[in-house]
Amino acid sequence: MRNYLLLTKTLILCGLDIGPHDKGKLLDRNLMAGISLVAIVAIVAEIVKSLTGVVGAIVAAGGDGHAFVEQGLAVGMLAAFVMGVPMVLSSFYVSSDTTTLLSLPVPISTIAAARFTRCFFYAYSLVMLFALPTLISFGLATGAGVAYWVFAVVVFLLLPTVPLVYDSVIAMLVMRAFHRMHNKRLLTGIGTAVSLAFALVWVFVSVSKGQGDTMGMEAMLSSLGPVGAIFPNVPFAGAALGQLSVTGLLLYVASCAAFVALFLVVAKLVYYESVVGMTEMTTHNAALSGKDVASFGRVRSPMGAYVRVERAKILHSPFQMQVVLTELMWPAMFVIGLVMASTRPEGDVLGRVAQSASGEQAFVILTALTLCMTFFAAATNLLPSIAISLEGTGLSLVKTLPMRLSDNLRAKVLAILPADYLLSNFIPLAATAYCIANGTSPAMLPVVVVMGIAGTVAVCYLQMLFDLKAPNLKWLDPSSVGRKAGTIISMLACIALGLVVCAVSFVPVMLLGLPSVLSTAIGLVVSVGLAIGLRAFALSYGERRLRQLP
Amino acid sequence: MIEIKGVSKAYAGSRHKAVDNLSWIVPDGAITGFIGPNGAGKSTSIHMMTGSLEPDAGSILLNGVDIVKDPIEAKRQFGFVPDVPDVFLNLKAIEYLNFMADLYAVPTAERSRFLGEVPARLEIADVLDNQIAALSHGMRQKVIIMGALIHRPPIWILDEPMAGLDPKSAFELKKMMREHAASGRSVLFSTHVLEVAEKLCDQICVINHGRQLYLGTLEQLKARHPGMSLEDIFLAITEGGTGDATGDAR
Ligand SMILES: Nc1ncnc2c1ncn2[C@@H]1O[C@H](COP(=O)(O)OP(=O)(O)O)[C@@H](O)[C@H]1O
Ligand SMILES: [Mg+2]
Repeated sequence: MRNYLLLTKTLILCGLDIGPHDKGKLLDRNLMAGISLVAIVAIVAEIVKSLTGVVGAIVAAGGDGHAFVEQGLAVGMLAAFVMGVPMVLSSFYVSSDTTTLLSLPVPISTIAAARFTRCFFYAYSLVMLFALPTLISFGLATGAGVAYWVFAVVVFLLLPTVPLVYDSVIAMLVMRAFHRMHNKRLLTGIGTAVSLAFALVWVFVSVSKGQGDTMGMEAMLSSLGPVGAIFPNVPFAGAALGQLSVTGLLLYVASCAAFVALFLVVAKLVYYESVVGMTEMTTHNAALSGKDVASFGRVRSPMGAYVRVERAKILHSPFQMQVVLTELMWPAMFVIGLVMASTRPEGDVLGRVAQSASGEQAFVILTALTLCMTFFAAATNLLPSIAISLEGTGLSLVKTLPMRLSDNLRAKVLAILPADYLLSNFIPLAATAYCIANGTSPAMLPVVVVMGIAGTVAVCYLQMLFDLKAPNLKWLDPSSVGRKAGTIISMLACIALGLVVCAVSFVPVMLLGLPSVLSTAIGLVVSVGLAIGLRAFALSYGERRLRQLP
Repeated sequence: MIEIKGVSKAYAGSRHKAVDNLSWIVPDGAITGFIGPNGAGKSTSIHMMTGSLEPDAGSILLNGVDIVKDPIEAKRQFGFVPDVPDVFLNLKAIEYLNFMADLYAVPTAERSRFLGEVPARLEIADVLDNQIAALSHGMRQKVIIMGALIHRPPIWILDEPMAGLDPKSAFELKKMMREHAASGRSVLFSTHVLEVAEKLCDQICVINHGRQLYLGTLEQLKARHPGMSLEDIFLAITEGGTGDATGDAR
C-alpha cells in the first residue's frame, strides 16, 4: 500500500510536469491553466443552465427524472471510456518510465494500479464536462437536500472506475495477445484511432438525431440506450440519486470495488507479459543498399533538407501521426452529416447545390465552406502548437546548426503544410470541382486554393506562437507534451480567428446588401493578409524567442 | 581557434553563476581538454560556444567570427557533439547524416568518401538504416559524432564524447582527434575522466563551480605538485576552489 501511494504520487507529479521552472514560465502556465479552467467552468455552467430547464420540464410533466440522471451518468462513463483508451494506452504502454518501473522491487499489480490511478485523475476532466452538469442540474431542478449532494459527490468521485477498468483490462488483454508482435507502439496508435473514430460516430449520430424540433441535449441522452447498458452500476447510481436509496449507493460503491478487484487480478496475471518488450522496434542490420547510398550522395538545398527531415520526424512517429490525423475530425463530421441529410426526404443537398452552381450563391457556399473547413480543421491539428516543445533537449543541438533560428519554424510549417492543407480542404476542393462541373466559373478554383492555403498558413503560425511563448522542453515522453494547456488554448484561438474571418467576410456584405461575390473577395484578402502578417510576426518573434530558450 | 573572453552565465532564477568570467584561448593544432567534476559548468560553457545559450557577459570568437554577432557564419566553423545523444530519435541514422550533409552543403564526392570510411572505422556501417531510437547509447553517440564531422569542420567541440563508447571506438575517436589536431586545426572536448585527458591533451582547462582553476599543460601541472598522483592533484585543485594552482600557469 505504501509503495502504491508513493508510486502514484510520483507518477502524477511527473505527468503534471511540475518542476523547477523559471518564474515567467510558471506565470504563463498558471495563466493558461486559469484560462482553461474558466473555459471549462463556463461550458459546464452553460450546460447546467439548459439541462436544468429540461429536467424541470420533465419533472413538471410528471416524468421520470431518475431516468434522466441515469442517462447523464452513462454519458459521462461513455466519455471516460472512449477518451480513456488513448490515456490508458499512453500511460500503461508508451511511457518511457516503463524500464525503470519494471526494475523496482514492487509487485507488477502495484505498478499497474499506480498507472491506473493516474489515468483516473486525468479522467475527472472528462467526467466533469459530461456528467457533472447532469448531477448539478438534477439537484437544482428538484430542489434536492443535503443527502442528495453527499450522494452525488460519492457517485461523481467513483464515476471513472468502471469505464477505466474496461479500458485497461481490454488494453492489457489485447497487448498480451499481441505480445510477440514487433512495434507494439503501432498497435497503440491504431487503438487510439479506432476509439476516436468510435467517439466521432457516436457524437455525430447523437447530434443528428437531435436535429428537428427536439432539444439536442435531450436527444443525445436518449440515443444512448443500449450503449449505456454496458455500465452495470448505472442503475445503482440512479437509485441512489433518484430515490436517495442508501442500498443503491452501497451497491454502487461495492460494484466499483468489484471492478477494481477484477482489474487487479487481470493486472497480476497478464500485465507483465503485455508490457515487457514494449520498447522493441523493427531493425534490419545490413549494409546500406545501393539506392540509399545514391540518395545520400544527392546534394539538396539546406532548406529542402530541413523540410525533409521535419517530415520524416512526423512520419516515423505514431504519436505525431495520430495528432495530425485528428484533423480529419471536422471533414469526417461533415461527410457523415451530408450523408445523413441526403437520406431525409427533403434533403437532396447535392442536387440543390448543383442547381445554384451557376448563380452567385455558389460563391458564398464555396467561400464559407473553405473558410470554415480551413480554420476549424487546421485548428484541430495540434502539431504546430507542440512543434517546438517536441524538440525537447534536442533543441540545443538544433540551435547550433548554421541556419537562422526562424528557418527552423519555416521548415516545420512547410513540412506539415501539404498534409494540413489537403486534410482540411479536400471537401472544399471537391465541392468546388462539383460546382464548376455544374456551371460555376472556373476562376473559383484558384481562389479557393489560395484562400485555403493562406488560411492554413495563418493557423499554423498562430498555433506556433503559442508554443513559442510557453514551450515544454523538459519531458521524457513526447506524448506528455500534448497535455500542455497551451495546445487547447491555441486551438480555441484558431477557431475564434476563423469565426472572425467569416464574420468580416459575410456580415457587412449581407447587411449592406452588396453583391455576394464581394464576400469571396474579402475572405480571400483577409486570409492572405492574415497569413502574411502572422507569418512575419511569428518568424521575428520566434527568432528572438528561440535565442533565449535553453 | 576559439577565443573566449570574460564569459559569464547564470541560469534564470539562480543566484550562482554556472560559468564565472571564463577567459581562454583554444589553440589550433592542439587537443584541449576541458576538465571538471559533474556540474562544474563544462556543458554550459560549451553551449555558449556553440550558440545554443547566450552569455550574460563576454564574447566568444570561433576562427575570428563572433558567435553572437554573426551566428550562422560562426556555426559553420565547428562540428558539435552534445553530451546527450538522444536527438532526432525518430529519424533513421542515414537520414540524419543526409540532413547534416545537406545543411552544410557537403559535395557528393566528399559524402561518398565519408560513407566509405568513417562508419567502418566506428563499426556502425550495419545499423545506419535503423531509427536512431532503436540504437544503443554508444551507437547513437557514434551517429551524432559522424553527423558533426561530415562537413569537415575546422573546429571540433565534443561534450563528454567518450561516455558510452566501447574501447575500440574510443580508441578510433581519439585517433581521429589526433589526426585532426595534427592537420593544424583545433579540438576541444570535455571530460571528467582524468585518464582520458592525460593521454590525449596538449592543453587542459580545469573548472569547478564555473570558475577556471587551471590552464596550461599537464606536465606543468604535475611539475608543480611533485610526487602527487594525477587524481590527488585534481582533487586538490577542485576541492580547494581557487587553490594554489591558479594564477601564473597560463
Ligand atoms: N538548463 C539548466 N537550467 C538551469 N540550471 C542548469 C541547467 N543546466 C545546467 N544547470 C546548472 O548549471 C551548473 C553547471 O552545469 P553543467 O554546465 O551542465 O555542468 P557539467 O557539464 O560540467 O557537468 C550546474 O549547477 C547545473 O545544475
Ligand atoms: Mg555536462
